[in-house]
Amino acid sequence: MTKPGENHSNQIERTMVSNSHRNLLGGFALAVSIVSMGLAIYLLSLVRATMDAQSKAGETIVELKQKLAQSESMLLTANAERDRAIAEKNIEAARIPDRNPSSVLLAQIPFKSVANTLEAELELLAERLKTQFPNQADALHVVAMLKAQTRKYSEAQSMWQECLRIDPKRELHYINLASIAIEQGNNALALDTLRRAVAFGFDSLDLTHHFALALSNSGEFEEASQVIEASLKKFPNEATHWLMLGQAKLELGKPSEAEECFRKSKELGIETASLYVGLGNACLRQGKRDEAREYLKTYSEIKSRDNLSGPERYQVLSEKEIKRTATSVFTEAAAIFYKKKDVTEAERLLLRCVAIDPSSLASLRAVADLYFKTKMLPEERTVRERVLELGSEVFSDYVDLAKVCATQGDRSAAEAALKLAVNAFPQALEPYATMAQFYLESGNLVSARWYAQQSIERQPTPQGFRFLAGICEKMNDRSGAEQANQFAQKLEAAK
Amino acid sequence: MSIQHLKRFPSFMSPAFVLLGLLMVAFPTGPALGQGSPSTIRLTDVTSDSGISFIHSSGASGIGYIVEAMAGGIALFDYDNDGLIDVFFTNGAPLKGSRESPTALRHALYRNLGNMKFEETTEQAGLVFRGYGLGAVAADYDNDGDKDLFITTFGRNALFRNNGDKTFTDVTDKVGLLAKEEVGAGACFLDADKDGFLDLFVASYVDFTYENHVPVLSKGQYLMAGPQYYNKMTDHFYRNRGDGTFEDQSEKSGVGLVKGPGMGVVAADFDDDGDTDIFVAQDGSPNLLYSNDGSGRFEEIGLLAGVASNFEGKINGSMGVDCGDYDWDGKLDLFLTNYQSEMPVLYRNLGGGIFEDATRKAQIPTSLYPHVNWGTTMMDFDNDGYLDIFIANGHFDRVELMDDRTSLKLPNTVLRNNGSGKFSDISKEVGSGLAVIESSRAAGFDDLDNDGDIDAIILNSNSAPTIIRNDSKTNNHWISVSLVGKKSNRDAIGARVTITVDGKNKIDEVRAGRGYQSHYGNRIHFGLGVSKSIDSLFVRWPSGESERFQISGIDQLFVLEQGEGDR
Repeated sequence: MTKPGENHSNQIERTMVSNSHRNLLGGFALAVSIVSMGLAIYLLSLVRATMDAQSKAGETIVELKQKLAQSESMLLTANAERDRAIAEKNIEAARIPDRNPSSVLLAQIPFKSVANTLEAELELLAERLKTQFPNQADALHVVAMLKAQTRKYSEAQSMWQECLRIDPKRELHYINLASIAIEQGNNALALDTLRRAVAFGFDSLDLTHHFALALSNSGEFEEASQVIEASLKKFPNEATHWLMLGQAKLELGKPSEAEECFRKSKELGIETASLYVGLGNACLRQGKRDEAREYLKTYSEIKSRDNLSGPERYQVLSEKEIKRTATSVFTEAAAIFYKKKDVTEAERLLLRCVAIDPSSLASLRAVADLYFKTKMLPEERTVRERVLELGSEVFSDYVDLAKVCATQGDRSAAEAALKLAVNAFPQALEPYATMAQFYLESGNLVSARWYAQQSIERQPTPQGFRFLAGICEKMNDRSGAEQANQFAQKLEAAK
Repeated sequence: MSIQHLKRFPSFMSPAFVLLGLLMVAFPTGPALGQGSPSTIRLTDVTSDSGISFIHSSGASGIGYIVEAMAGGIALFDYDNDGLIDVFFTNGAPLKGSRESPTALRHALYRNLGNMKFEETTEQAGLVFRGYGLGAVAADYDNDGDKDLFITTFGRNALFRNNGDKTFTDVTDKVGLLAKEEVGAGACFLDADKDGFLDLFVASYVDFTYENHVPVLSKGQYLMAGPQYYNKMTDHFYRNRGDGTFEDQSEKSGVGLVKGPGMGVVAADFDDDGDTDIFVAQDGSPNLLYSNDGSGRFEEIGLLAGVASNFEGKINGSMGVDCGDYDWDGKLDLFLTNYQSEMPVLYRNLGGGIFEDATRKAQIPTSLYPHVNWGTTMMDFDNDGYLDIFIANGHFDRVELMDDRTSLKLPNTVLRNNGSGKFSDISKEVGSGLAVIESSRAAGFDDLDNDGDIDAIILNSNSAPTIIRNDSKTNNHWISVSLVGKKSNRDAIGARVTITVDGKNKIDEVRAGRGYQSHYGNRIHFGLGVSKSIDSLFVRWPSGESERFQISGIDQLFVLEQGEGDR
């Protein structure tokens, strides 16, 4: 029921995560989620959890409680009640607005979220999304994703069915509905859903994979083979297709064809236990025992490293898993709120991501991008500084910090950030070129020329020489400019 | 070519049986073996009228000891030789921290009174034994004409010798089976070296003690930590010396060289080489197939035989296992029940010692995927000639708090063999027997009321058992065969019976120990569909000889003694 070699939860997760990325909107596209200053706000809020603050948030909480009561599962335990109360408190605290830059305090330690607390918080968010955006497939998709990952499969199924009703032209909804149906053991629903998608004209790799999987689960190996073979005409190098085709051929009693497919899959880079067990079985059925033994030995070696964790066996969400789920859900929900112009909620959700994992650069970048788009410069700067403190190895993080500092009029801080970049990436062209540009804009032509020369030394390009020529001209160094232009011409001619 | 010893069961002459016979005459003849006909299987819950008052307890402590999940087993055997199959249930015992009274829990033996009525005879039989019971198997290890009982426990396993007077004596120590305390699981008797005496194989689960218990807390409740948290154990092989005692030959035989969390076991000749092999369902480790070289030495070949994992190499948490020839190809296939989010697996025997995972091909329903499955059998519930499958379901945790697809308590499942190598879930159509919602574990099957169809008894964890009477009304026929070994072990464990019906061969083997840590089905039962005769019946005895028995008549039990057929 999964892609060969992948377990079911990973399968769902893979689908959901890929969906998550596809849904990222505008400024969030480069980021996956979360915070910093938000955490600061959160921490301060906790400290200042006064009656005053509580009364401000009281109205919202009452509303949330009502929604929660409506949706509450009969199975909630006393502990879940307690966890929910904690979650409400967190939300309440996080919602207290405090935009004073002096209060900005970045997280140094992870927020003490526990699995149950986060799950309750996520449930509240899901209810909110359902209530606020009942006719928006993107929002319901986020709810479905959450339900699937917290193993509330029936609700996830309903949500994706609703997504399909609202937006039947989106292939992903068919795939997600089919995936959840497979997890529920409802292969008939999966197959029906995927047949509808195929009838609609969808034929992506993902869809074909799921379609062939559902067919195989029903024992329809002939049709599964045909589906995969048709897809392989379009995607001949899709290794998992070859693996699945091998499995189908084996079921059809064609071991030599199966072996061929498995070999092709291996050539294309598949090295999973399922591949080797497939090869082993294909060889066994052709009487090639020695070859089979070798393949099965490799299979055993792979499996010996593949110990099932306790949480996996017991279908319990591990701390790590729920945090990953929360980050993913908060980020997607933030995108939806942002799209609906609710920047405050978008910010809160992204900050929750940072709070959950304060060292996540992706989360920090997401929140910084939000601040950039909403022109919240002090907040943006704080977050971008944090990104550098955490040891980012991405050059654009340095430039982004320099930009925000410069926009604030703090050019010396901008200069410092760029110098850090130069030292962080001493062999790269870009830091020197950027530094040169910065000095050029500052009127410090001597430094600009020096950095431009440094960048050319690292990677001579026509653009670099022309840039240097421009600086020389501004310095009235005509011979220097001429020489630089000649180099540029030579390089252009050489091309 | 004459039958030297053929007994007809008296209870078959009951009015109900005669009436059924008359009705059969009136029915038109359907397709041979009933292929493609609609299901007529009817299974009725008769627990309340059965006289069985046994209540299972896992002896739970509240902190989730691993053994609580796996209890317990059933043995269906005729302990008093009255021609009716009796019932033995294992029970738990108070675990450390449990509030159960130390004397309140005990195993229970019920004597079959006929017509699905039972009376408890535990005390009279001397089976008041209070070890933490996990599995049970019955066979005549001393060839004295009555079935003895072996019980696996969390603690010391125990062998009870049948005294022949409806009582048992604990002979564990005396016969050399007193081993160290451990977590036992499935067990089976087999004549591994063909010397005419039954040897004993005992699977061992994990190295669990109160001291190394791993608590797993989630959402305010303790979950039972799985076998991956504990050291794996080796299984045991005890050779019967023939003088009433056993010798531990675990290492010498080869079974002691492999460690793993064993659960259900079944022994039969899987590679058609004339000796008895052993299959061990393992919980989260590759399943084991011990191939016998004919002398009682075993080589583990699960991976090379294709039964260690499922089709894609997934190692399942396997629980119960049974074997049978579901596709009439003359080879014994295997059916395994597995853990949550795993499909049960049907391994089709391709011959030459190789199996294929035929689960999807056979259309084993994916609705089983979310659940934990335990007890199982491959037996023909409607006598249409094709082996159906029964699956006992249930979790051991309040799993519904974590996963809405499944639950602690669930209905069980019956899959009907459609005769084309495919199965259909008919659970909701068969009646009250499958409407019971419990957390089931072991399951045993036999013709408990001697009316010619297979009934069932299900052990439900921490609850009363479910007693199921087969009320299927069909125009199908059947025969049952009870074998008596002479040169072979007296129970003829390991004997293979081959019948030919309408030119097609079907096989089965007598086995002691199958399903989930259980024992049942010593009498071999063949559904014949609408065929009114069988062409031939061969028995290959465990000692190696083959005999042909001339069977005239159907719809009855035949008792066949070794040496009285034609060689």
